[in-house]
Amino acid sequence: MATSSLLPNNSNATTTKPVVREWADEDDSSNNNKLPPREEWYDEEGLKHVVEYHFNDDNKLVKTTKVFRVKKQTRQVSKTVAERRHWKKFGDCQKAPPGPEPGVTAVSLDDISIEYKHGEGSEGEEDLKAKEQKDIQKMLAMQRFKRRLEERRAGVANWAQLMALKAGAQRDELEAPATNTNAANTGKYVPPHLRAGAKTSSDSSYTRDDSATVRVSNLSPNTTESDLQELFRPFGNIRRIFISKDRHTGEGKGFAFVAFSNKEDARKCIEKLDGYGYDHLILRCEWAKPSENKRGQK
Amino acid sequence: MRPLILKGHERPLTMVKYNSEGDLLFSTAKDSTPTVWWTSNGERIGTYRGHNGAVWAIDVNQDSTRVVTGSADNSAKFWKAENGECIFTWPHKSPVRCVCFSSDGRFVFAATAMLMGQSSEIYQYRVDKESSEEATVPVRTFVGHSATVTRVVCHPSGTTLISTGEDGTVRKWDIETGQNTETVTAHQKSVNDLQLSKSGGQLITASSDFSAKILDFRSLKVLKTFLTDRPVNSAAISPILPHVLLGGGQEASQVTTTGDRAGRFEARLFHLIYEEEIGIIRGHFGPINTVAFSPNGRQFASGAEEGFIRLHNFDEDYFQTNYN
Repeated sequence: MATSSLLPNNSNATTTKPVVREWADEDDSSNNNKLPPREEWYDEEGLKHVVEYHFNDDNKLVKTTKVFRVKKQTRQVSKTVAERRHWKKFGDCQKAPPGPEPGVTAVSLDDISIEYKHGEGSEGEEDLKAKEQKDIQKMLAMQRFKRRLEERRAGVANWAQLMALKAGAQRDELEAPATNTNAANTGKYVPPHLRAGAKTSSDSSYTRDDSATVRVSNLSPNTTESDLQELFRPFGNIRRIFISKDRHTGEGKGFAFVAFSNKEDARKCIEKLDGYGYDHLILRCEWAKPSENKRGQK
Repeated sequence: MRPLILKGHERPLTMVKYNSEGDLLFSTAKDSTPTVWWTSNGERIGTYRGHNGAVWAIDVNQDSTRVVTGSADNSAKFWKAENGECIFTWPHKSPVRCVCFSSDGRFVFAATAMLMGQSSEIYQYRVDKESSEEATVPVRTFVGHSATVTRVVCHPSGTTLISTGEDGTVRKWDIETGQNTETVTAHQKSVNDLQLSKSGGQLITASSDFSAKILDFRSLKVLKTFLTDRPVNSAAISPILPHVLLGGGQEASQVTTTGDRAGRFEARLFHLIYEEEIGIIRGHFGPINTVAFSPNGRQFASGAEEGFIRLHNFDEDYFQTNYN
């Protein structure tokens, strides 16, 4: 039976400061390259103090003080294991002093626990709650920040004033709907599509015609474009296929848009493929809803 | 739990192995120095110097006095565990992919890779006599593999050798006769790791086909399958709980081409009976190449492509949680 001591458990404090020396001390060159000896002692509380000196890159003497709380853990081990504790270091670490080498063995800075999958274990649930709380806090802070930003932009002292200002502006807009056309005369820059006589977006050739587009969902993540080509080609000419993918992982998100050139083809496709079993999943096909945001911007 | 991080290796880890008492951890990497560590505090005890290439595998005998390593420098070496002295070197015609001790420690098995026009074979050497002449000639050669042998393990009964191959097969060999007694194709792709349960009744295989399987030792029947979404490089069975630990991650060649979230470098804990995932343990930032449970089940070691070994001591609540 034997005892074995572990790592110094709590490294309480490490302070490093260059030792300031008078210029007059420097002339004694024999003293210059000598390091003061390493000191080690235990204080009355049982804390271990280690003082070490070394030269830093600027050739200045650096004093490092480390304070350890040393815990001795006693464990019972078999005789052979106890004998092995007397093994001397060999190979690449032959010259290393006893104890873990600083650059080789490290204690992780992060406290890592098992992340349970179904919220098993009380700890996982608590973690989740704490995280939720944090998220809400973050959201509120962001909202406050945005408000302050808007206030500053509008040059008002508080939110209430800003709201009043906005309400006023809206009324102004209603009263003077023709400001845009007059803008050209005032010398302000007006982007081409807002200038008088510019085509409105509804008749521009850029707008996508979503009327013959089918939204396919419940796809498996590794469906490729060519898979969908194969599946949808029988129904008619396909203009374009878009598969939604995760930006980081490149994995499919499980839905895609297929644009037909003919609306009738799209209708047939929805009739046939909605509820169709594909790749062990049941597909869902429906008309793509036009994305409201984009419409609004144009 | 704050894991210990062991940074002794400069290249991807290939294998970690506990000794039978669990106080020592042996590790090999694609650098040429196998290393031994104290598991209690992560202190490096020594390195075995002499290999001249990546070291693929390591094994230690029952009383932790001898170590055998297999390397890509076309040799296997036999060492004194306590001072790193090399006793024998067995030259081969192709890289040595895996090594193991027989259960009584009298023999060493070394399997070569199917490379450089050589076929993959397992060689059995005698190591109980100190005369080197007797040790350098193989006692027996196990022939008949159709692909590189990735792992060999000697069953505790001492009569059977189990090997896995890059073609997804698991084979049983009779040590007395050298005959291949049974062959099962358990996986569609390469089997990367093979470990035994504590009793020797089951084996667990880890494969690039995204799964790990538990096989019955007697019949080589697949009892359980653990499915994941990435190649599994290593799998281990807990000696005290019905748990299985899998280590893996995307292939090393793809790590730099995708986002960090895609890598999934966590170790995953599965329930052995329900085949369900219990949880994950993060930490590595490269694919995990090798995992091992300590013999008392309270610690595990994982070694990864980034060159670090992490020693995790389980928290008390891991043992108290009801997993049913």
